[in-house]
Formats: sequence, structure tokens, C-alpha cells
Amino acid sequence: MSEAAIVIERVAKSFGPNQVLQDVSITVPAGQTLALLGRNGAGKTTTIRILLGMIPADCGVVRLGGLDPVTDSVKVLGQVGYLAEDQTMYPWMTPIELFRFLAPFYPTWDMKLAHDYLERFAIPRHTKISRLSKGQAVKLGLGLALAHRPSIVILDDPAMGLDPIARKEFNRDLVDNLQVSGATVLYSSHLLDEVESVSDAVAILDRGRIVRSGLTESLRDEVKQILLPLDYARAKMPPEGLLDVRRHDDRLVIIADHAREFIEDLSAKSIDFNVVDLRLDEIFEAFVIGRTQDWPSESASQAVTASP
Amino acid sequence: MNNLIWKQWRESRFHLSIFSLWMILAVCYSIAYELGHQFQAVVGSFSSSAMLYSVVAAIVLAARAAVGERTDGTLSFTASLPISLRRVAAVRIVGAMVTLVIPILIAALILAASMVTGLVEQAEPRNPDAYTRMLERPTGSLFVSLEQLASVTAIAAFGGVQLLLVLSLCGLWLRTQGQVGVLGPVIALVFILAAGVLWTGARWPTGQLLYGAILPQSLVIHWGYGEATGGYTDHELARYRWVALGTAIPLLLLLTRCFVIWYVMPISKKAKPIRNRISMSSIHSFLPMPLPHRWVALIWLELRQSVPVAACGLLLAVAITIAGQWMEGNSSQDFGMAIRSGLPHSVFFVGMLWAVVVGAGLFSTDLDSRLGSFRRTRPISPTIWFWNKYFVGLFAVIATLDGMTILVSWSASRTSGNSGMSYAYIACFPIIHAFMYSLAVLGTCMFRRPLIGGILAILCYTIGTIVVSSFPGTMQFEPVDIYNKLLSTERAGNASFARADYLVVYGFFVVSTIFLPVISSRLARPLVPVIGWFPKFST
Repeated sequence: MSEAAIVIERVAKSFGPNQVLQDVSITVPAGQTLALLGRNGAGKTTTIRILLGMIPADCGVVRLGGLDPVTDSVKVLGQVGYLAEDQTMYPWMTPIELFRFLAPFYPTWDMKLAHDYLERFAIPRHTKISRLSKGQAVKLGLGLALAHRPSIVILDDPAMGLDPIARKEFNRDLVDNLQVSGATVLYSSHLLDEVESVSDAVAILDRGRIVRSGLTESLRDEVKQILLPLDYARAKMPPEGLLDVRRHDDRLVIIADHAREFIEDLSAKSIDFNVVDLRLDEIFEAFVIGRTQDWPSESASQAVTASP
Repeated sequence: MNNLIWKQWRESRFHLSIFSLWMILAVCYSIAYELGHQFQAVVGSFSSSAMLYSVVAAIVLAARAAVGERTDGTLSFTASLPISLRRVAAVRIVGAMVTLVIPILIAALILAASMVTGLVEQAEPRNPDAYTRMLERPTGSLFVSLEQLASVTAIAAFGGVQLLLVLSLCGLWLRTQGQVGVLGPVIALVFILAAGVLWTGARWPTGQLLYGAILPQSLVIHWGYGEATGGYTDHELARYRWVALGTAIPLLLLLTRCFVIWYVMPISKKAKPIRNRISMSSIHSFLPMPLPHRWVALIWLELRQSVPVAACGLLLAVAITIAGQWMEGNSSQDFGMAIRSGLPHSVFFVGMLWAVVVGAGLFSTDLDSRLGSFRRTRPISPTIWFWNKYFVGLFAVIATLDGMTILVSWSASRTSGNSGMSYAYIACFPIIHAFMYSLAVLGTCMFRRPLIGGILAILCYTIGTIVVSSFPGTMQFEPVDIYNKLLSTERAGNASFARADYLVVYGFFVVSTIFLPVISSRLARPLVPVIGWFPKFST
């Protein structure tokens, strides 16, 4: 888990006047599954396109398996399994024909494994891809992404557009197969329930910037919801990592990053407070749509933003 | 309703601007050419430009009118609005008709103004019973000249609108604008061939009246002539042209009505039954055919995509040859021999069109944002992908269209001037077809739209040959004229392919076929087109 399989360092990208990525840095150690979270338009797909060498970054460094995806694009793509959001494949081919076509491009292609995936995912072998259902097409895409036993897997919102049951089924297949493969995975999504079960680490991308990254468990440990008396809060400055503030009767409900110090301070002062553990979707929500303006003291009404 | 018209205006104004510019430039060229040469053939020149324009505009506008909302994904949104879809369809098709006709009218007005002011003059109309060269004909009166102009303008407008409606109706059963783009030239070609039927032999005015009501394009015929100082276009009009155009109106209204009614029908109801009947599981899938190397895989991929399309072109050429032989009623030789003998002539012009279809179609699928992304994320070198695709597609065009024709027609009889196979054909037409293919690839890589790429390729070639044949100093470099000269010398028994005009023109084509793809390969590299009207990028 120590050597980095995916490195993105200080990457920026603009399309005309539209700055899509700013100073983005992500490192994924080998064997880790990182969930790249962001709302629609946050820059997830652009990040992945830069990672795969499909578009160049304006500045910064990108490495996949130690290789530059722009100068060594064929080598990089040979070791990456990629499944895109709403992936289109040659509609006139059948799954078998597509496997036969792609096999020579991947030195590690395992035809037996590819056939196993067809079997496991119940994909008809000789039906044209244009006639597969959306769920079958997504699963075929997953089979294609994994059949050459890639060391790095990149999934870009793969289950988007599937109905909830098909999404759950797809995720189950994904978890089963990724755990077996031991590959490094970068999983981009805005559907948190999809990634919570598979991700070792999380990076939250908001309006082109990484606002938080870290191991999933440590993120859960460090970001907490705290209920504290409103009167106490009035006399205090807001905590350093304040992400969200809401009033509930005479209590203040806050979400704070790096909350341990603040909690210790509350305990030391014998303040009546409660700490609530958060799910990943609640943490993500606090980072991207949290509001801190409602902190009840005048001094704290100055802008306090989420610390990266 | 006003909002619908406003929306249609917003969607059409770009095409209207481009088409108006096209026709204004065309009429300016006709006037300037007339001023330079004084052939008194400005109406014929304008008419042939307007007819070419109306065909291209009809194809582009039909693709938008019939399939535009489906391919843009806005049809379901439009259907959810509290507006009758029939009204939406009516505004779309009428908007397309107006967009097609306005540029012709603008150009006709410019030409009429230059005639009224005496800047240019038109010779008296051609007399089919006593043909005289235009230079020998007296100048026509202003009234007669303006009537001639009004006639060719109306015929071009009616012909364009009819083609637009027929294509739009067919387009309702198709799924992509590219499919309309392929069908469009085929139907246009059939219309052009059909339009000439009643102009062979003695004139039959009543027959032309009835025929013209169904096919307005048939109310005028053009002839190109060459003089020592340059070429000109003469034209002849059907006698009862205005009556025929009047009787064409109900048919056009009926076609419009059909479009409005069928536009509302969901695509699933229209297209699926046909698809289900003709589709079957891919036979290739069951064949245990391994692809041992990436080169083999890439060649297999491109052959699978290009050969069926090119074969359709060959079948079209065969169909046209059969229709031509049947219409001519040639009984001096057996039918099979007559077809083999006439095939090279059909393949010549169908091949020019089909080379464009193959080039544009082959590259557009792999360059669009969806399938293009799939290809770009596989370990396939972009350079190898491009050149393999280019050469396999080129091979498919040359081998399927020209190769098969040479094989089939080699031993066919060579009774008339251009029938049967010849060394002149082998020396000229595969090269022209390859050049057209490379132009279409360039246009498609540039704009990432097969329809625009294909039309640009055809326009480039057409404009190039018009310009070359317009001036005494360059007339000898007209490519088909060179072929005709080579053929006549070959048939006379003293063929020589070392002629300067052949080496210059066809050498240029060969060099272009090699160097144009170098530019195309650079244009094809970026994910989004370098040149484009609506580059899209999602984050």
C-alpha cells in the first residue's frame, strides 16, 4: 500500500475562460480504492480524462503506474481498466467479437476470465451490443475493464442511469470482483451509497478544487456532528474546521472537521453536548453545501469556510 | 406560436446565413464570369448553381428537420410542453423550406437587378427544334430574360423543397442525421437521373407538364458547352412549366401534411418493426476467428465497417446502370453484357459520391464523443489507428467500387464512346475516388460531423472544377475532360498517359491523397474538434 499507483500533483485545467480544475492533487497508493466524490460539474470526468491522457492538463504532474499518460499513453492504457459513465461500445459487435477485437491490445488479456464475466453477469454472447439492456451493457463494460487483469482500475460514474436495483446489483458485482483483483481503484461518483462500501479513501472535489481527502475511516473519525447549547456557542468563536451550522430550538447542530480538539475542549469545560457519527453522504454534503453563516455570535459571523 | 417561430429562427439563422452567402457568391461569380466572357448565358449559369445549392441545402435541412430533435435529445422535452407536436413539426418543416428558398430568391433578385440595369444580358431561349450556339443567338428582351430567370428560380426552389420534403419524410424512419446524409445524395441522384428522362429525343410538352408536376426538377435541363475562350451552361425550359409548378403545389402540401402527421409518431413505432424483420445475430460472432495481432484486429475492424458501405455504393451503381439500360431500351446486345458495359460510366459518378460517404462515415463514428472516448481509452496508438483506418477505408473504396468494376467490365463490349472498361478509366477514376475520399476524411476530421465533412468535400471538388473549366488557360485541366481525351486517344489506338495535363492534374490528386491525411491525422487527435461550431465538453 506504500508505492503510489496514481499521482496527480497541482493539476489545473481551463476550457476557455472556464477554470475547471485548480491545483488538484491526489495520490492513490497501490492496492487502495479511492472514491473521487463530487457533484455534477465538479470536475471528476475532466480529472479522469487528464489521468488517461485524453486531454492535456494546463499544468501539474500526472503519473499512472509511474508513467506519463500523455507521452506513454499506449503503455498506460494497457495497464488500466477503465469504465466510463454511459460507456458506448461498437454497437454492431457482439460481446464475443468485442473481446476478440480487444484481446490483442492487452498483453495480459485473459480470455477465460472474460468468458467467466459473461457467464457471471449473464450477458448473452452473440447478441449485438446495440440490443443489450443498459444494465447488461454496463456489466459488459465492467468485464472489459477487468478482463486483462489491470493493475489500475478507473471507474467514472459507471452505474449512472441504472435503476436503483440494477445499481445495487452492479455494485455487488463490482465489490466481489474488485476485492478479488487487488487492483488500485479510482472510483468517481456522486452517488455515495455506491462507494461507501468499497472505498478505502476519499477525495472530495468541489468546483474544481479538492476540498478534503483522506482515508475513509479517518474521515469518519475526524468529521463529527456536535449538538451543543446555543448560549455556549454565542460566547465562543467557531471551531477551526466548521463545515455546517444549524439551529434546533436552544441547541446548535454543527458539523466540524478535525473535531477532536473542539470536543476535548467541550469536555474539559463540562459542557452538555452530544457527538453523532456521520455517514459518508452526510460528510460529503457538509463539505459541498454546508453553511457556516448561522454561527450565533457576531464575531463568528465573519466568513468561516471549510478548511481543506 | 410566436415562440415556436422564434425558436425555429434561432435554430435556422446559422444555416440561413451560410446558404445566403453561398448563393450570393454564386450569383456574383455568374455575373462576373458573364462580364468577362459575354456568352449571354448568365441564367443557365445561375440555374445550375441554384440546382446544386438546392440539393445540398435540402439534404442538410432535412437531416435537421427530421432527426435534429431526436439526435439533440430535445424531442421528449418538446413533447412535454403544452404545445401540439404537430404544430412543432409544421414550424420545423416550414422553417426549413423558408431557409432553403430565401437564399435562392436573394440571388435571383441580385441577378434580376443586374439584368434590369443592363449590366448583363441573356441570349434568347434555346429552340429545341433548331439548335444554335449561344454566341449565334440574338440577345433576348428584358421581359423574356426575366421570365427565364423567374422560371429557373421557381424550379430550383420547388425542386429543392420537394427533395427536402421527401428526405424529411424518409428521415422520420431513420435514427441519425448521418443516415439522412447518406440517403440524401442517393435520392438526389435518382431525382437527377429521373429528371432527364423526358429530355431525350423529341419533346413531349404534355408529358413534361405531368412529369414536372411530380418532379419539378425535370422542368429545366442544362447543357455544358466549351468554346475556345471558356465554357458556358445553356438551358432549356419545359413549355408548360408554370402550369406544372402550379399543379406541383398540392403534392408539396400533401408531403408537408404527411410530415406533420408522422413526426408525432414515436420512433419506436416507426423504426422497430423494420429493424426486427431485417436484423439477425451476427454470423461473424459464431465463427471461431481469432485476431492474433493488433494490426489484424484493427484491419478486421475497419474492413467490417467500410466494405459493406462501399458495397452499397457498387449496388447503387449497378441499379443505376440497369435503370439506364432499361430506359434506353438497347436491344443490340444482351442485357447482361449491356450492364457490364455501362457499369464503368455509373461507377465513375456514384464512386465520387460513395468515396465521400465511406470516408465521412468511417471516420465520424470513431471521432464522435461517445464511441471516440471508448476508442481513446483503449491501448491503441492514435497514429496507428488513423493510418490503418485511412488506408483500409481507401482500399475498400478502390477495391470494392473500382476493382470490382474493372473485373466485371474488363471483357465487356466497348461499342460506344465511353462504354466498357478502358486503361483511361484505370488511370483516372480510382485516383479521383481516392482524392474524394481523402477530402471527405479531412472535412470530417475537421468538423467531426459526417454531413458537413461530406458536403464540403463535394463542394471543394465541384467549385474547383467549375473554376478550372471557366478560364481558357485552365480549361484543359478539367479532370473528366482529361479522361475523355485519354479515352478517345485510347479507342483510336494511340493512348498516351504521359500527357502534361494528365500528369499535372492526376499527379496533384495523388499527392493530395497522400498529404491531406497528414493534416487530417492532426485534426483527429484532440478529443474536441479544433474547428467546430458547437464543441461540447462535460466536466
